[in-house]
Amino acid sequence: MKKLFCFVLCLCMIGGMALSASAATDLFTVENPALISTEVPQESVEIATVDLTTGETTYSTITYTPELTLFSDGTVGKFHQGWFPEVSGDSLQDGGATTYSVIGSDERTKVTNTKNWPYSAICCFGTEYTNKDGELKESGGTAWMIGSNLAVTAAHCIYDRASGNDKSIIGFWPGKKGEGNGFFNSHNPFGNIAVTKIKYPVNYQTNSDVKYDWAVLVLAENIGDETGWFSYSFRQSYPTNQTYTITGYPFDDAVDKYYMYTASGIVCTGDADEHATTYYHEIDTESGQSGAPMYDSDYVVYGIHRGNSNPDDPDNPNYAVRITLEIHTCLERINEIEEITGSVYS
Amino acid sequence: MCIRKRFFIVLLVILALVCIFSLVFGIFAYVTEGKRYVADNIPQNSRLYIDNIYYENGSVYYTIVNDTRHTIGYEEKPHIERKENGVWRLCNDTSVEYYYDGNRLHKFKQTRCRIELDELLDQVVEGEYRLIATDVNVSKRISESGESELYCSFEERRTYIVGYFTLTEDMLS
Repeated sequence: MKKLFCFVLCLCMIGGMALSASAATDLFTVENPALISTEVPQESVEIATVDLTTGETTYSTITYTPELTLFSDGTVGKFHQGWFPEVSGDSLQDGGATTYSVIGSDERTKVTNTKNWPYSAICCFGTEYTNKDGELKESGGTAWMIGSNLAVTAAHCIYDRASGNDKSIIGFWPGKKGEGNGFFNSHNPFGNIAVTKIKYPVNYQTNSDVKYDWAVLVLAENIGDETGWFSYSFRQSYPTNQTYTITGYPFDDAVDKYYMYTASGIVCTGDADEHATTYYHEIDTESGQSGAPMYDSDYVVYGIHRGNSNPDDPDNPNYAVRITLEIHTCLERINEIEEITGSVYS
Repeated sequence: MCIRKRFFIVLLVILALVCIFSLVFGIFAYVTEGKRYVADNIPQNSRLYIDNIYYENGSVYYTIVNDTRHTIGYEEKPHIERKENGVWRLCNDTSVEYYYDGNRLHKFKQTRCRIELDELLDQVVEGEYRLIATDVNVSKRISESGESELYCSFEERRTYIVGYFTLTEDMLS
């Protein structure tokens, strides 16, 4: 009788411990409910890596098991921590001694002290490519740092789908403020950094789906150790009436070219659900800001700015690529693998 | 001639040179800034325009000329309007994918462009067309027939690069 009692007690203890352990796990990691099954399917993304020094393109696949995290605020998603350099005396979260000047009724404001984080981690770049008619064209965009030597932008800034040509980077300037170099390189507080590789989803070459319009630039120097880099996150629930900021390098005639501008606004809900790949918003943006980060008041990036075409809702015409679970995972994996090996991965 | 007098003359010469240089630079800056004007209800610049525009085999060819001293931005896929009963109406196919090209044209440079009309327009018919090569805000309005339609809205403080071409029945046949 005593033995039976001990056996039942042991069973209860083991069961209790197992339940507690499972509850504790649930607090931190939740698998995508849709993927709970005896066999958790793996997702894969094919990535093209263009070596800008040799011109060679290699292909590799990132395979991952979708996993989500339950955050303390009750939301579910993924988060990658950013980093900013210590600067004495300045309030880093406010961009240090940054001052602004308002341009007319335009809600964009000019950032004058681009040396302070987070503006230091936003980069202007120029590209050159041969278009479908064989004409040499010059274009550019905005990128944002996600690691020591990694920056994110939009794929259309570095690949021309009409011609099938990759674009070559002719200049990459974190925190640029002004055309040219200026006196003593004053327009380029962190210099002109060489880009050695560009990486983007192979699907972007043939598929116009917004979710493929992202790319990673691999830099020759660990300039991120000076500029800092952004946190980025995927949230399963679509944001409702939250204010976000987009900071980048517009190229319209209402602004000073090669200067950084920032604007905030509400991201619209529309009919989007958790699977939406686009954020429509009313934030003032222009050509040249493609690839710019769309971030919240905690400087966490949720979207990559893309363009201004929303015929269904002209009041909210601008849109950004949402950092989906797939994009988030790829950015993390590219980050990890590049920092460890510094070379093409498989 | 005493040293003070010589010094004074040298100073005068330097000042005169500075004045001449400033004047020349000022005139250069003034001229190359271009003249802003409004034509066809669109703010434009006299030194920023579309040249040599023509239609051939389904494509429209044109050259964007930037004779100003500033680098400018333009779009690879322009917005195109067709004149209907005296009113310019946007005729781009709304399913066409638009994003910011970030294309740049440096000062005193020009670039050759080509667009395939059937890729860009909802339908290619004869008529008078207006092409806007710079980024444009597209808004919604109610037309005379009471229907909702998209149109290009032009801001006064901006400058647009505009070109015109005509399609005739012969060209399309």
